[in-house]
Amino acid sequence: MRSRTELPSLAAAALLTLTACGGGGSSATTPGHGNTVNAVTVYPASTSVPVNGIVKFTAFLPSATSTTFTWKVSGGGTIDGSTGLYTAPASVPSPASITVTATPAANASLVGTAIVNVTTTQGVMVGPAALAIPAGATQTFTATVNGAAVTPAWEVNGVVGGDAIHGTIDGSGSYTAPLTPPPTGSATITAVSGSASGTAMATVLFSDNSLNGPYAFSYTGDDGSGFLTVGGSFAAQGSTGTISNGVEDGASIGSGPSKQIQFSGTFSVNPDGSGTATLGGGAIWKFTLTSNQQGGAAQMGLLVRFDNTATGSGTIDAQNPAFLTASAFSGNYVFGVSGTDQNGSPLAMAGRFSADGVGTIPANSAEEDINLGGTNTMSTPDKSLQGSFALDSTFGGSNGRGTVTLKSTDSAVLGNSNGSFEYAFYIVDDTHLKVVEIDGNAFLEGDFYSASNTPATGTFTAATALPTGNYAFTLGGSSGNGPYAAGGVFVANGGSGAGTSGSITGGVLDVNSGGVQIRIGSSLTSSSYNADMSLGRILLPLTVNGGSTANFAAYRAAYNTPNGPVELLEMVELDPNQVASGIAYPQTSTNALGGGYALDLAGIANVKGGGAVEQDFIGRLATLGGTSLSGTLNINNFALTTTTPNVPLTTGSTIAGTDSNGRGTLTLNTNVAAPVALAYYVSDNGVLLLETDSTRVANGVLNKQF
Amino acid sequence: MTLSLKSRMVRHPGSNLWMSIFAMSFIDVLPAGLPDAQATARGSGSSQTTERIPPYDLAKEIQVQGTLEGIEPASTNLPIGTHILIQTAQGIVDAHLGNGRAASPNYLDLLTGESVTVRGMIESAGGKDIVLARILGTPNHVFILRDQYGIPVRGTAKTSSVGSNALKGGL
Repeated sequence: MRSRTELPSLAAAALLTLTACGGGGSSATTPGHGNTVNAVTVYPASTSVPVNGIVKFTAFLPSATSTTFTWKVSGGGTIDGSTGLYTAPASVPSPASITVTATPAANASLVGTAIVNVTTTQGVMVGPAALAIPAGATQTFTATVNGAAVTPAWEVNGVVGGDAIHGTIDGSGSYTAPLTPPPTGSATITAVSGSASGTAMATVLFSDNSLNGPYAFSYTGDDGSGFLTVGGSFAAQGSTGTISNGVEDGASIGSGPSKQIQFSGTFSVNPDGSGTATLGGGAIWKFTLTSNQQGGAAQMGLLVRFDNTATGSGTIDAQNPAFLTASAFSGNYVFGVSGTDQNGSPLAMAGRFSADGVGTIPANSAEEDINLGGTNTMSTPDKSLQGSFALDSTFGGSNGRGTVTLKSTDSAVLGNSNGSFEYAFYIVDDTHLKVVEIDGNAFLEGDFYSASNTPATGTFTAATALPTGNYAFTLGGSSGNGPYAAGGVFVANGGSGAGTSGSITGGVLDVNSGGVQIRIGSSLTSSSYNADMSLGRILLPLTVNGGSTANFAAYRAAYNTPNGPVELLEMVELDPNQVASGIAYPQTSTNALGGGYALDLAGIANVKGGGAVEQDFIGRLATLGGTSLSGTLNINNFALTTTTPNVPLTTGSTIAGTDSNGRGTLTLNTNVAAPVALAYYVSDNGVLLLETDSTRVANGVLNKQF
Repeated sequence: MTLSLKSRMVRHPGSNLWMSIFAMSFIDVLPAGLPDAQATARGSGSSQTTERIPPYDLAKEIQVQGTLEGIEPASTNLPIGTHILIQTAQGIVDAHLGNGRAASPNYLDLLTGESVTVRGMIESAGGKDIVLARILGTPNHVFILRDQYGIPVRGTAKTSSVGSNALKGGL
C-alpha cells in the first residue's frame, strides 16, 4: 500500500507535501448482511372472516414472480397446500387468530405470513369471505342465509353497485375490481338480504390492467457519454401488457439530439405496483406505479432506465386525452429545465411565460433566471424571453407531442448566440407539459407547469408570490466538489398587505457536496425575500446560521391531479459556486408514513473500478408499523454496467419520525447498498429524500401508492 | 519555477469540442490562503458540520508539478470522482479532477510516470487536504477541468433534483 501523510497547513508552506493514503468513505453505508424483511408478501395480509368462511390467498416473491408456493395454516381451519384456498373452522378457535404461511418453491428459506381472525357467523354468508384480486379482474360472490342461496342487494363500500374507485358489482354478485387499488388497498363487499347482511373483503392488487391508456414520460441519466435526456409518450394496453404508439425525443452528449423515435414494447405489473417494460431497441424500464384515487388506471409512476446501455430516473404521467391539443397550452406557465450547455457546463433555468393556445409565447410577459457554470442572473433576470410553439402534425393528437422554442436576446449569461432553445413537449394536461431539448444547442430536460394559481401580471405581492407556510425542497446540481445535492425546509411569512417583501423566518438546510462536505442541520435564520410585482419572480435568499446566504430565484405554479391541484415553486440557485435547481412544495403534513410507497433515489456514486457515475434506485417499500420498512429495490449501477433487480430490504430498514422541521431519516439496508437519507415530509402522499452519506450524492422521493 | 504553455487548441477526446487554451504561465505555488479549516470536521471520510461550504476562489489557487504516481478513477477517496496522486519533491499530492466522463483517466489519456501540472485550490475536507484541480497539464494536452467558479466541466452531476422531479404528478 502506498504510504502518504496528510497535507499540512499551507499558510506558510511554499510547496505541497505528502497527502494521506487510502481512507475516505463511510462505514455507515457499508451494505449490511441482515435478514431479509418480508421478502414474500401474502395478500390479504390480515383479514377477518366468519366461521366456515373462505379466503383466496395470493403470494408474491419479487425475485421469482412465477414461482409456486406451498401453503400451510396453524391455529384452525384448512388450506389447500397448492392454491392457498383457506376454509375457516366451523367454530371460533381459541385464540381466534390463526396464521397462514406461504413458502416459495424458488427459495424454501423464505416464508410469508398472513393473519386470519375468525369471527362468528354473519346474517348473510358471503363467499368468498376475503380474497386478493388483481386490478381489473372479476370475481363472482355468492350469498347464503342459513345455507340457502339468496339474491341480495350488492354494495361496494356502502354504495349499491359500487363505483370506479372501489370497484363495481352487478346484481348477480359479479364484482369487477378497479384498475388500481383503492384507498386503503381494499374494498368491502356487502350483501343485503332483507334485514340481514354480510360482508367480504377484496384486497385489490396492482396488475397489468393498472397501466392503461396514454402516458407521457421523461427521464435524465447517462448513456456512457456523460448525460442523457429522454422524453416521450406511449399507449399502454393493460389487457395485453403491450406498449404501442410510442414516440420519444432526447439528446445525448455523445450522439446529440434524436427526434421522433418510434417504439413499441411489452410490460408486466406486479401485485405491489412494481413492474418492468421492455421496449424495442433493447431499452428496459423498471417502474413503480401509484394509484389513481379517482378510479381508473395509474395516474403516475416512478421510472428508472434499467439496462446496460443507459441509466436514468424520471416519471410516467397519465395523459388526459382531452388536452392533447395546442389550445390546451394556454395561459401562464412556470418552467424549470436543467442539464448542460453544449460544452458540458451545468446549466439550470427557471422562469415564467404565457402561451396563447395558438402558437405564440409573447414578449414582455416572460422572464427567466439562469445559472450556467456559476454565471447567473442574480443581479437581473432575463426579461427578453419569448417564443413560439406548434403541435406536431404526426404525433400531436395521438401523443400530445409538439415543439416549443424559447428565445432570449439577453447575452449576459448565455452569450450572444446561445439564447434559443427548441424543445419537444409532451402534454400531460393543460397544467403540465414535459419538455426535452432537441436542437443540440444544449442538453436540457424539464417541465412546464400552469401558473394559473398566481395573480395576473403586474399585481403580485409577497403573499401571492410566496404565501405563508413551510416549504420542503430538494436541489440537485454541481459544485466545486463535483456532484451536489441539497434539501431543507424554509418558513415564509408571506409579507404584509400589498407589499412585495416578505421574510424567511426559519427552517433548515442540508447539503451533500461531493460526498465530502456534508452539512447537516444548518439553521436558517431571518432573511428577506422579494417578489417581482410584474411577473412574480421571487428572489429568495436562505441565510445559514446568520452568516452566509444561498440565493435562489423561485416561481410559483401548480398542476392538477385527481386529488386536486398541487402547488410548487420551481427553484434555481443563483450563486457562482453551485449550479443547482429543484422544487419546493408547501409542507401540508408531517404525519408518519403508512402503507406502500414508490421509491426513487438517483445520484452520482463512487464505484470502485467503474468511476463516479450515475446510480439509480427504484423500488417499492411498505411500512410495517413503528419505523420499520420492508420492500424491494432495483439498482442500476451503471458504472459497472450492472443492473441488480429485486434486492430485498434487510433488518434495520427504517424511516424515523420527524423533527420540528418535518424532517426524518430514511435508512435502507440491503446486502448490495445501504443508503441513508434525510426525509422531508411534504404531504400524506409524498416525501423528498436527500442522501447524506459519502457513498453517493443523491436525492429522491417516496410516493404513496394508494 | 515557471511553466509556460503555448497557445494551442485542445481537443476533448471523444467529442467534437475544441477548446482554445491561450498562453498561460504557471508558477509552482501561488500564494495560497487556507480554506476555511474550521468549516470541516477532521477525521476520516466525509465531514458533517452545519457551516456553509467555502466557495472556490481563484485567488487561492496553487500550482503543483510532479510525476503522476497513481490514478484512482473511483476509490473511497472523497470528493466523489477521479483522483490522481502526484509525486512532488515534497511528497504526494492528492488532486481531484472532477467526476464523470470528462474526468476519467481514459478520456484524459493519463499515464502513470508522466509529468503533470495541476492548478487548483486546496480544500480541507474529511481530514485531508485535496487539490480541486481546475487545469491539468500533461505532456501532450492541457485540460480545463473546472470553470472559474470551480465547477467541474462535464461533471455529469444530476443538474436537477431527481427527487423533486419524481414527485411531479404524484402529490
